[in-house]
Amino acid sequence: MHFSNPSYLVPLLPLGGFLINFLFFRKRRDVAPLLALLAVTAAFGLSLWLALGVMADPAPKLDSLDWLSVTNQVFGHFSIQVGTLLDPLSALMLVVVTGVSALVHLYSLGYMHEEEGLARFFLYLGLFTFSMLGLVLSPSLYQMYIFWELVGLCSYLLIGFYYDKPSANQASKKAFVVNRVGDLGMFFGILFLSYYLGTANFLELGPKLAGWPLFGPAWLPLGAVALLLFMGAVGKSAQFPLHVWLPDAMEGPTPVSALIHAATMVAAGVFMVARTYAVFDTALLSSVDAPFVVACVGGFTSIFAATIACTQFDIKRVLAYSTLSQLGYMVLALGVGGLGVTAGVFHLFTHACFKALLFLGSGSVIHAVHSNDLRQMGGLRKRMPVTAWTFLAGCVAIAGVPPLAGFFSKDEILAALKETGHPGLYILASVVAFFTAFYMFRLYFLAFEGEGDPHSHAHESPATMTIPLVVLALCSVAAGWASLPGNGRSFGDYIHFERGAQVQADWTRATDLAAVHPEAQGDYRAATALWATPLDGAKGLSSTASAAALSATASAAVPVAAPVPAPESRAFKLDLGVAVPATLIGLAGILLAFGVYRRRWVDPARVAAGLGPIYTLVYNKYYVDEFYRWMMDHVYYAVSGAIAWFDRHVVDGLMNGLAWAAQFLGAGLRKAQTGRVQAYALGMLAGLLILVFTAMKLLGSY
Amino acid sequence: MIPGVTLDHYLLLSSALFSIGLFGVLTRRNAVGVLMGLELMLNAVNLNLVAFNGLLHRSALGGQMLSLFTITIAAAEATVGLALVVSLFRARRSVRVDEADLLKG
Amino acid sequence: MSFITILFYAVSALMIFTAVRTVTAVHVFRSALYLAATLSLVAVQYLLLGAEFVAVVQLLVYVGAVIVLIIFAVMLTAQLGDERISQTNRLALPAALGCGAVFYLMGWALTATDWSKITPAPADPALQGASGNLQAVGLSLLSTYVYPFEIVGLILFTALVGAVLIARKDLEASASTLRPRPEALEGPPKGGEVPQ
Repeated sequence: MHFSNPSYLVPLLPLGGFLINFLFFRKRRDVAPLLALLAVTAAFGLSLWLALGVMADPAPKLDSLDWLSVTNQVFGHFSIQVGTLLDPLSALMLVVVTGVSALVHLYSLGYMHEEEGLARFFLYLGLFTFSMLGLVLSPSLYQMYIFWELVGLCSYLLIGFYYDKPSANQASKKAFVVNRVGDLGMFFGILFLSYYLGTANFLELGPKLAGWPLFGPAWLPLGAVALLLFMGAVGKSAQFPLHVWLPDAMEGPTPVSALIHAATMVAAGVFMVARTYAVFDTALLSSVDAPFVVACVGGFTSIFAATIACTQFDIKRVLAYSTLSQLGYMVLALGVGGLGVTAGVFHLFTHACFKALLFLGSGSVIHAVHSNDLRQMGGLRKRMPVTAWTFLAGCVAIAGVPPLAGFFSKDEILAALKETGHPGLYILASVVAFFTAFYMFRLYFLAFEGEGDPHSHAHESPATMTIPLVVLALCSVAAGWASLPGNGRSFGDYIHFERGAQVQADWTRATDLAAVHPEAQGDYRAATALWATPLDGAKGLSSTASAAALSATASAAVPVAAPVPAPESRAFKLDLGVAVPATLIGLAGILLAFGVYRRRWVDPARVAAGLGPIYTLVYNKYYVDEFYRWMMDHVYYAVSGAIAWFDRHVVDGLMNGLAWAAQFLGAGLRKAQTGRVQAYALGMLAGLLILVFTAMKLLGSY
Repeated sequence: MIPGVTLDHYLLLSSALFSIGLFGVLTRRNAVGVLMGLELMLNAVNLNLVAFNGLLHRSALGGQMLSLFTITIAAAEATVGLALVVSLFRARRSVRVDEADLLKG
Repeated sequence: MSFITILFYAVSALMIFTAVRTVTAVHVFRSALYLAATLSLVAVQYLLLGAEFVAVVQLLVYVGAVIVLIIFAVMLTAQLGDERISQTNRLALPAALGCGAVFYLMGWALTATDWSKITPAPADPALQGASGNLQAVGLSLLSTYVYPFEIVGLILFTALVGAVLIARKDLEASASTLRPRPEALEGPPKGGEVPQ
């Protein structure tokens, strides 16, 4: 197989590190971490070089071979490609994953220094990096699924790193199982996609979808496929209702939370939806509004998690719910389509920067204070200045204050929401932005401001931990500037979703057909016949009568989404109508947090008591976990008990019954074995007579 | 040859003899009794052969020759069979056939 | 009704009677005697059919040898109290039914066939000019049927050897009845060899 670019090396470098460490340095605390760090840094350097190449030539480059290739009369040619697909989206992810991973490797040298299984930790980190890189470079959904599962496995290994803690074990199992639920839907989605479209390779999706008929009864397959695929994203990116694993995943070491559960793995769901967005878009055009479902799920998750984050006292939990909320934001953006796809991916990029920063910063705090509880922190800014200032940078970024990164990405999302005509979602997103600013600064003020404990000997963390913090802080400041217009080289110019021209033409034709033949929309045969009729002068839409009907009823006939406008430039546009309210909301949140937690204008405990049952509900995460437990205990186990009963009594009973029948028959037949030859001879005679009489009857001679 | 006696009479007669011999084989308790029934069956066959020869194929000798050979073989078989019976008696002190049920079950 | 016809029917009836008594007698010895009678009557039937040689051979071999053999076996294996037990086993009724069915089947099949459609076999040219049945049989035994004749001789020989083998006593038992060699009478042999 000929490789046109060395992108395949990027995952192989950390894999090589993993293998060498696994074979030779499993017990070497001194060698293994350094080797892993070296491998990841080399991968990062290579990713940067590749990204520069992609910026010069953004056309997708596919290096693959057909792992499975079938040609038959039903599907034509179906193949599963494995290899690498290098295009702006995957190049971006390569840089993000290797960059954050390298920084986490460096950070872990300091943070995990006293841990027992240090070499094992770096083994898992290397394996995870390899899996994630393989995922982003996948040219087909099948390869992506393989790495998807691998990433889930690494998450399990890393969450359960402290294997002697039962809570960690339970959390890792929970993460894996909940993920698996989503993966099941995703796999069905992949299979159905392969069946209906004949391919699961990303570059072939566009061309194959171009022939999808858009007129007629709502073509459920595409919508079902899109939603099933989205189930994978719901699981992996922790959307409601499969979000329950992410807060518990904080049982793992903090670098793990930074790498996996903030920056990279949870972004895989968003990445997958962005990759397969053509399916969602075409599903929308065939009047199954899959993207809207996506947007609703994302929007609900973001407000749901944001409210919970306001009440938590564990610093990592706050950040975990913040991650949930931001992921919901990304999914919400994806759900509105068009510019939203760019905005969602851009937010993924900026979020990786500042969320990793926030997690690593919290790790630094935990390392110093030896506790996760916010109520035991305070006044750390004086003792840990680097941590404090970098953490503040992260908070400002996530609050969406310009000119830091969060402002640009949030603004793009809000702009996309406003432009595509979803006012409710726009208001929801603004409320979430307010909450985000509020709880982040609540966290900051509780941890770093105030007097704190005078007897604590918290001190600044070593350089291996502070250097990554500084680097990420710089990224959090500057990352947003990537979307600024720069003669056709802004973020949106590289990463955007564009509806295929054929699909656009088909959609226009479908709308026209629906206007002229509204009755055929519910009739499968008529719709198919009409759709198959080519446009020409003699039939269809060009007669004057139908043209008149067209102009009169076009807009009222079929409620479909407005066509996506092709913008002249996809760079960040400063729309003051969006930017100013967003910034003001962010500042308002900061101000409220300042007032409550720094200046004590209101006592938060009294507010909580005043809210009473609402506060309890939110504090207990809306009892989702308890609900699931109840479902398991009462519904799931009841069903499985019934099935187990069926298995034991009916299935096994059938088998046992057969055995019993065989024994019974055998015992009965045994009586024929008298051991006396004359009895046997009589039996032979009887058989012979029966045969002869039967033969005579059949031959008609009797 | 005999007036009023056709081939059918001989055939019925040999069938009857055969059936009686079969009954003996199936029901006698003594092993020697079984062999006696067997001899009856063989004789019925011989009678059949000679009857065909005498009444149907008068100019040929096939039936008679075959019956000669059958008699010879029957004698040989009776010899070996009775040797077996004697050996059985020596081993088990009884020639009752229904007591030879070691393969029962 | 000529004399021969009556004779035929009488012989047939008697044959059937003795055959039935063969298989139903309680004393095995009487059963053997009845068998002898049946076989003799079969020889008479052969005579009536014109097969003189076969009739005589029947009397010589069957009645003269086989019956004697059977009586020998009866005598050798007789046990006290045999006559008190029924000689017919439990399967009498089903066996009777089966045999009745067999008789019915064979009888019907044989009598329903139209034997006149069969062309009689031609005369053997090797037997031209044979006077009478005996000469014809003798001639054909050594011409047309010479192979079966010789092979039957072999079979008889095999049966003879086989019967002797089966009926003789066990080797170990017979070895103990052998007298020891004279040399062994001088005392225990040196070296501990076992005398063969």
